[in-house]
Amino acid sequence: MLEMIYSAFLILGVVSLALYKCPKTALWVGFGLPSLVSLYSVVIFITNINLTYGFKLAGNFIFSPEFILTPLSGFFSFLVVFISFGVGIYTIGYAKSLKNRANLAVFASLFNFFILSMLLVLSSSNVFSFIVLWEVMTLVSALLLKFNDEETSNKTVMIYLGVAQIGAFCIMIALLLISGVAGSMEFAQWQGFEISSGLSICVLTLLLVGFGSKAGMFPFHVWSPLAYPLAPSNVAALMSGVMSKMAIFGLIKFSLFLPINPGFGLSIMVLGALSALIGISYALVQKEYSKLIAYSSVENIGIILLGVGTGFYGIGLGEGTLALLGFVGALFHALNHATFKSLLFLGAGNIYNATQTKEIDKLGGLARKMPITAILFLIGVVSISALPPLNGFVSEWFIYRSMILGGLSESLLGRAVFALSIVALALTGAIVVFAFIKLYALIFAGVCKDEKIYNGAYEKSLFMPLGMFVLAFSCLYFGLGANNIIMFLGSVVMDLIPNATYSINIDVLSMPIIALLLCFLLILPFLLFGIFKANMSKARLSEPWACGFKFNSRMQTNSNAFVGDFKRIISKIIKFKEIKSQDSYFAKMNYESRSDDFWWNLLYAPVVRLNLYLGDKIGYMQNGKSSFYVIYILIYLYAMMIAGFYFLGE
Amino acid sequence: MEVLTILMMISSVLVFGFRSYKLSILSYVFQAFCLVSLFFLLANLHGAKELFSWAIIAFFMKVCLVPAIIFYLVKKLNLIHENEPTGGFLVSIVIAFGFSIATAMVIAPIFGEFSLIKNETALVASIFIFMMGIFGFILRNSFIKQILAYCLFENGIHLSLALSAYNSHSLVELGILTDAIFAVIIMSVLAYHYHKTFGHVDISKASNLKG
Repeated sequence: MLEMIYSAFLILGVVSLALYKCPKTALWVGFGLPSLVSLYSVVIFITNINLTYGFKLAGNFIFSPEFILTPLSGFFSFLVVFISFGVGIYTIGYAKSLKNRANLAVFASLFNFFILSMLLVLSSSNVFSFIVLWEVMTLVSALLLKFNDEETSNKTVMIYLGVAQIGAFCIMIALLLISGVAGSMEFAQWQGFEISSGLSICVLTLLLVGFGSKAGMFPFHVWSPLAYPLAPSNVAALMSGVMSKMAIFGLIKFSLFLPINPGFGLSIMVLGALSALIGISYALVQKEYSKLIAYSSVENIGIILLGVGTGFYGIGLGEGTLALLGFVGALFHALNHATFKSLLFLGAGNIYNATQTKEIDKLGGLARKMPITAILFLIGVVSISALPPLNGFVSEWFIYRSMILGGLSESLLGRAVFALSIVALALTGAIVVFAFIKLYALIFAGVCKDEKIYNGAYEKSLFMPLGMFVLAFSCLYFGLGANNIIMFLGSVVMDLIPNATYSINIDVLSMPIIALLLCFLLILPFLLFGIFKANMSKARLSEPWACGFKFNSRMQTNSNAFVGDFKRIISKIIKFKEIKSQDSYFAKMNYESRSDDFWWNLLYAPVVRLNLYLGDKIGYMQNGKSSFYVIYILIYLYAMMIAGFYFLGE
Repeated sequence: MEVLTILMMISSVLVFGFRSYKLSILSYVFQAFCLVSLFFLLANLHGAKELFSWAIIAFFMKVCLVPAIIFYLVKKLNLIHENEPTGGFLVSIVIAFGFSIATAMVIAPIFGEFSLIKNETALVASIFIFMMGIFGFILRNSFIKQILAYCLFENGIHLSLALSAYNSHSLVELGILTDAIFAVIIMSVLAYHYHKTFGHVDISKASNLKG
């Protein structure tokens, strides 16, 4: 089963690469067939969610890796193939816009390898293959990033790779430390080993930094708002929707091997709360829609981490219910975030495809030109804003609930952290609504601001809305059928925490009833109007009244004005740069306001500077004379000989 | 056997020292020939059947093919004499000889502990030849001389392998025996193109890759 799915992706990847000469066929082979394979594997992963199964690679070439799926990795594998299904369909239509940038066959092949690498990361069963596959995943995603070849792309790709490498380095050290203590590289044998509390804290910190870098957790998030907007939107959907979840998976999986104290859970919660707040604050003030969505990924990772932190806190205290609720909330939000974030990125790709601009301020009234995209995008926006009855609401509700339960714990620190996190999440929720109203309203509602862009916009291909529809429909289903999903996730989490029981009634929340209620409330005014026959006169259609002036589309609120008050409030935390420039005395004044992510300067810029400095100094050694290089080799040889003599000789 | 090893040592100094490429290559041929006969000798003395095949392969590789390639290269480039090496012709030999013999004397006893055939002179010779090759790389500026230096330390490695572990895996054997020929071909092609581009084979003047 499993090997069939993996080899299908492998073969499709190779075949689409072989179709280098005919990219049109490669498009169907490389994106159409993987969607079918994904659909098939979604079924496989769902039906086998409670089993632990795997296969061993044949042969004894150095070592034969074994691939095992546990319920947890099974759930994340389901996530991977489920999102790839929607993205794959979408890409059949979308890839045409990339035709001039790169060979589609290569793109299709990398797409398949990317999915495959993520699946393999999930099922790898020892340290060596995990690290190698993790790196492969990073490299393939970096190659995919390069497909949007812009001026800044090289720098962004290097930043992405740099942060990912720092993360991978931390992960590797942590895993090697564990395997050193446990005496085995196989994950299956990591049981019942003794580890000192100091080392355990050290390993947990390394894991948090490593996986946090990959997930885009604050303060290691600097790469995500750069990389996601750069990537082609289907890749951005996969990276933000799925790849960042690999980090969540790793964090949960490897931390559970270690003895966990409640402090670890609390520190994850603090970081999660900060990610959520800071991520969404930055998102709100962005002027490019893809950047806004990218920053909102940071926020959502923060929310997921709040759930994960609660779960770890519960484990640390030995409270099964708390852990269960926290992890279910986290996994559910991971699933939901993957769904609606992919949907939004795909929608953003659709908009960019039609308009060729990333500026929110140049767009307006697109709903009239692209009605299908608008509706599907609206579903994504409502879900991400956590409005009932869609899926974002349910998972955030779960996380709230688990945090409220955690807030009742005895320790004072725990109470404080939980209370503050609840406040942070509530604040985040409000700003999310604000940000996404801005996003939707300024792009799809109102009247057009740029005639040329407006007239050129239309639905380019039917496959793109179709792919989005799959995800939008799942948003609806995950909301309305939340009980099923929770039972499904409950069984996954039960496997993680053996002593947990369904001690509380999880299905106190009935989503269909909420949905019905909301629909009823929505219809109620019209019903009342109908009954009382009030306000039945036909609406008059005319241009908006603009205080006696002729209405102009520039009179509409733009993205800067929309968040003006918020900017004033937050200007203590986020620094805005106002740039005024004027070409000549009579020319128009140009205003530009930028919000730079100062965490980059705080955290990474010193490291970069140090490296450049060291590189400069070492550069003296590289003087271009080959005989000097041989001298270096000779010196090294001597040094090794002496070292060997002293250390090994005795 | 001692005679052969000492002849090899002398010939390595000659390879290093001769100004004329032709003489240098000839002394290399002589050294390779000594190596081959040494293999035969060892095979007879210690009953190591592997060494027979080693000797035959080495004869074709080292005595015939490699010198032929370098000869062809020198002829094609029309070079006769080497240009001035680092530290002058006389001093460079003294430096190389001194350091090589010192290193060889130091390391030989350590090598001796692992090797199958415990012959001190041969071990010293093998390390000495290897070090001469390394110093050839460091001190000589001419591309051709560097190729020869490479061949020298190949010989050194080869000899020490024959002494210390002639019973190693057949894959290792094949690799050690045949890598020289590929390396020499690649380096010759490079040298030819280098000469075509710059008009000389003095690599000390090539520092475009400076950091």
